Amino acid sequence: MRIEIVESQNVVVVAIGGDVDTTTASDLHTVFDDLVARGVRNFVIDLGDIAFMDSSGLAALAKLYKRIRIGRGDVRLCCLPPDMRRIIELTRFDRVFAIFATRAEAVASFAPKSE
Amino acid sequence: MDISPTHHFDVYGREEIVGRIRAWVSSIAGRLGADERATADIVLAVSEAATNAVRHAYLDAQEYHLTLKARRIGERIVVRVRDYGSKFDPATIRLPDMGGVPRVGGYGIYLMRRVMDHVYYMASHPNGMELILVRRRNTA
Repeated sequence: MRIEIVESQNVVVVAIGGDVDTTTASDLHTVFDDLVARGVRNFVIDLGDIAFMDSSGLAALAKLYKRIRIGRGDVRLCCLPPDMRRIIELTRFDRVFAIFATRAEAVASFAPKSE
Repeated sequence: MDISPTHHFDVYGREEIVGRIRAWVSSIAGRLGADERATADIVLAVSEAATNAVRHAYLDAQEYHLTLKARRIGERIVVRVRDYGSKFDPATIRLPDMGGVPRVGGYGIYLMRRVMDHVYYMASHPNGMELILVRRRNTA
């Protein structure tokens, strides 16, 4: 599994690549825990380079969502490959997470609304 | 009915065996004629089955041992995932509440049941469990 973190003004993009399973999901939990501890509240999770994700990865996303939604932040997903989209839809995560086609759209969705 | 030879894979190790199992079953599913979707579904279900085994059946073990068998029976691919650890009742694993805020965990068995046509547990072995996963090899 590969994790790339890109921080901008009010959003952190976490781009995940490779295989996310029971052996690697703990690294994902650690990254999410560190970012939340640092006060990050707005997340874009870029799943574009995911080769495989099972329920271990879904659990990491669900845990992050629950922690973030207690405050005023949000977790949004982007760039889902077809297999990933299927899993997200089967588990109805698509009813919980806002999903965007591109990273740019997901980041822009956090921009303050102009009057 | 056309039945393929049975492919066997015995694997020993720690949690990293889950990735090795995925690689094996992906290769075998293709050789048994599974289409792309069926292969992805079988790989996901077998990965979840192996994960459950290493998490729940081998709590205190230093090394895990799983045996996989795969074959095609007519138009269906059958994969058996056998562990030799403690028995556990899959009914005790709570299925996720699929509405509202997602629960952390519990999606493995749910996903297995959604992507496979049939999922059976065989608990009659003297030790361990066997999970039998069945899926049509063509999705259409």
